[in-house]
Amino acid sequence: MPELEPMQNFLTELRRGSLTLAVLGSLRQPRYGYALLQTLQEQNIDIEANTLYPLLRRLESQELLTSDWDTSESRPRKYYTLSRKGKEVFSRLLKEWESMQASISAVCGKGENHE
Amino acid sequence: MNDLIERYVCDVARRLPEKDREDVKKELRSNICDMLPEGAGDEEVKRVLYGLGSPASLAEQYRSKPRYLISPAYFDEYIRVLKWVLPLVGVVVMVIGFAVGAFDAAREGSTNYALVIGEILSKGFSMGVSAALQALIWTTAGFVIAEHTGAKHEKMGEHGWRVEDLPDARQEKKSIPLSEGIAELIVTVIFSILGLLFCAGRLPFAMVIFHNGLQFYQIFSESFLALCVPVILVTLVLAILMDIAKIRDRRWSPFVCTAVVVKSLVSMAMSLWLINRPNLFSEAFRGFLSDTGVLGMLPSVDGKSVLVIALSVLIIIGSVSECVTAVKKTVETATGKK
Repeated sequence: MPELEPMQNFLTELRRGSLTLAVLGSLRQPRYGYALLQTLQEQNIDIEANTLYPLLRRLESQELLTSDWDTSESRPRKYYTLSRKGKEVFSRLLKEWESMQASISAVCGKGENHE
Repeated sequence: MNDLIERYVCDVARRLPEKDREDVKKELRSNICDMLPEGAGDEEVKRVLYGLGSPASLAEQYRSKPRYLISPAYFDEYIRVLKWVLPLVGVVVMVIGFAVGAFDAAREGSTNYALVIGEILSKGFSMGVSAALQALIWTTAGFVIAEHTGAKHEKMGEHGWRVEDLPDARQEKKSIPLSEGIAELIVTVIFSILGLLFCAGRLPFAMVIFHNGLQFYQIFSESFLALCVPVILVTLVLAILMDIAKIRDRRWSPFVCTAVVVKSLVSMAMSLWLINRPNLFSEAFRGFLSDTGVLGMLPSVDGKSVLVIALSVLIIIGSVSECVTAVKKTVETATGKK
């Protein structure tokens, strides 16, 4: 199907920005990389390991996340948590997300059938 | 199984900046182990690694911004310069190469014409191709340097671009495209190098003429060629400064205008001085000219050949018109903006 590829691009574009929001939102409590991946995938958020791990690192270098190596278990794990700056950014992004959702609904006509 | 993971992790890490490597390795190792079930075998490891994608693509994700040799901001200009610099340099040098091949063959006195033609062609093509490659390398180097020193980013100001930089829709000639500066620079450098080779006797035009069969003379005198070298060097330096001015300002600013005028006047003065010196040609060549009577056929004024006078006039006309054009464009730019 020739329409498949542009459709995939639209979806990727649409999801890209919201991934950061989802990651920040689920790190209000400490989580390690793979656990976070599973949490997100359980909520049907389409994210791959090779996107998430670099994203976590990037958010950490932007000081939105803090990290801690837990060495108490048999193998060390890196736990990420929202930093203070991360919390601020998250709440602003969430507000923006909500207002955007409202705008989109208003523009596209919430619940109306466009067929 | 640990060997596969370790190899994958190292292959990702080696593509990253030194300071991130150890951290990323540690993180990746831990993440990959988490993704594996207890007591996983090679097949499981392979599945997880394929899931993560190739080391190159994962490393690309880890790098915060994409890396370019020449970024999209410059790419159009880069292609535009290459499109006319490469054919120009390639063809001109190829023609020179044909001549070099012909002279070489003539000097060897070979009568095997198939061989001679083959040598001429191969000399021309090889010189043309290598000059085009040189031009490619230097153009690329120029753009990479511009990219990494941020010549364009500085110009962009707070908005990322400037309204002032928009080309005039009616009169495009007021602005100087970046490609003009860079292309001129490359052509100047390549032809200066050819000129210097010529003076050093590495190109055969300096020494070969045909006469009753084949004899080889040095056409120009040693003292003339020795003086040519500093003249070419000074012209080269001034031309480079002029092109830097054009690349920097990208429009006919007073600075660019001054650079153009200084360059053309100085090089005009030097060329005039050079060709009006008495010992232009070598003794052997002068002897050949008077033997064949060519010298007698050309009239001379005050002991100067008409050829020298005509050439002087051409040089003056060329330089003066270059200056006048530069001043005119600068004045147009200045008044057009007010």
